[in-house]
Amino acid sequence: MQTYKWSEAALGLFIFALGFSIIFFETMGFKAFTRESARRLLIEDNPVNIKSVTLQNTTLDFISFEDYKDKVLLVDFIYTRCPTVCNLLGSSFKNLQTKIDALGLGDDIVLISVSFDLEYDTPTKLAEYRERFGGIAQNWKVVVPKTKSDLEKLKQDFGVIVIPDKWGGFVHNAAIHVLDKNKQLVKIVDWDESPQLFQMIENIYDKPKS
Amino acid sequence: MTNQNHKIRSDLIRIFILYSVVLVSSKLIFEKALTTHMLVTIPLLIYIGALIGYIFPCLRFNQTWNKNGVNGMLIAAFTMLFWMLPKTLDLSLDTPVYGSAKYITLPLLCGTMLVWSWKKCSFLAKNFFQFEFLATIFRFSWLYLTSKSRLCVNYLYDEQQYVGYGLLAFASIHFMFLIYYLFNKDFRQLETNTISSRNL
Repeated sequence: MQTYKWSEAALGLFIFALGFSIIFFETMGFKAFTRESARRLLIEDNPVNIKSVTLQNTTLDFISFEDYKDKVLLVDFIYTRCPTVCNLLGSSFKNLQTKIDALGLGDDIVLISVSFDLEYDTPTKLAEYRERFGGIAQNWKVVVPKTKSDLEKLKQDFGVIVIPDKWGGFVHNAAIHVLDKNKQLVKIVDWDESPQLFQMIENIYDKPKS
Repeated sequence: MTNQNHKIRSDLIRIFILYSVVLVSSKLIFEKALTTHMLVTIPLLIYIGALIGYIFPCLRFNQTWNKNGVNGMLIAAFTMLFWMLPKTLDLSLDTPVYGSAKYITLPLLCGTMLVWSWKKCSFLAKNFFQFEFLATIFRFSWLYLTSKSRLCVNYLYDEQQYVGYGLLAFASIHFMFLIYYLFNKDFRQLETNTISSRNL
């Protein structure tokens, strides 16, 4: 018979606890099993400062996030040739725009769609994209970064990863990113989570729902 | 140097060459697709760790901290579980920390521990780890097959389906071998905690 060693059992328990806690920390308390959910959870605890980059507007002038001081920005990443997700993003942005105007927050919230397809998306194509959904140019800007390094900076700050798909287009982790007045990324929501989004915006502004 | 040290040194050199081949081929070929990333690189790295484990037989059989084999199997199990999460697969492609951690911990903490601990495990512990391993693989294949959203940011959605079916195939084949073994081995001398049951 083999003598039973308590020290070995204790070591086994310790290894189990260590492994369990490593996986616990890695998945943020078993809530984030994918990189996308980890990104969203991390943002909520630690807002990220977004560096400003030069973005070319549909009107051919250059803007940046700093131009919109004291406004809440809702940013999403699109490319105009996209047959699927970016259309959903576009129509939800149009719905958001209508709701924002209805609530009278048109001066406080600006929607920005950033294209990451530098070769194909010229300002004309960007304007066409907004036309597709009937959006108004006043507080929905569709922009494209000026240089590739600017685009990489944006992608890194926001945590957006773009990979090519098999049909010449792109696949990316599409979502609506909320930048508060200090240009910090505070929340990332899916395009179909508008009630949550509006709740959050009202919390920023302390405005009662009319 | 003694003969034994010469043998160890030449074995280590061979393993190092194999390791660099696996490293380069993974980075260039196997990490481009999710199926090969999960089903080729991870088993290859574990196999390299196993080869390292076979080189040091004294360490293999004379460990004080691993006499029952369970401690080493726990380490191997947690390491494998850690590297099957979608989040860590993604991070190992993008960040250098996770990338190098994968290529270091999978051979050493998983493959070597497996070789050092499996023979020492009792029949009960071997059963437990086998079935838990199979159950985990089945669970992961279910996760990848039925998930509505893209789990890995660096891979397309169809690749999830392929990986799901691949994991399902691997687990099913392993399970069939296990069933064959169960029906074909003489278990009549089974007694827990005896040396003879370690050979089962």
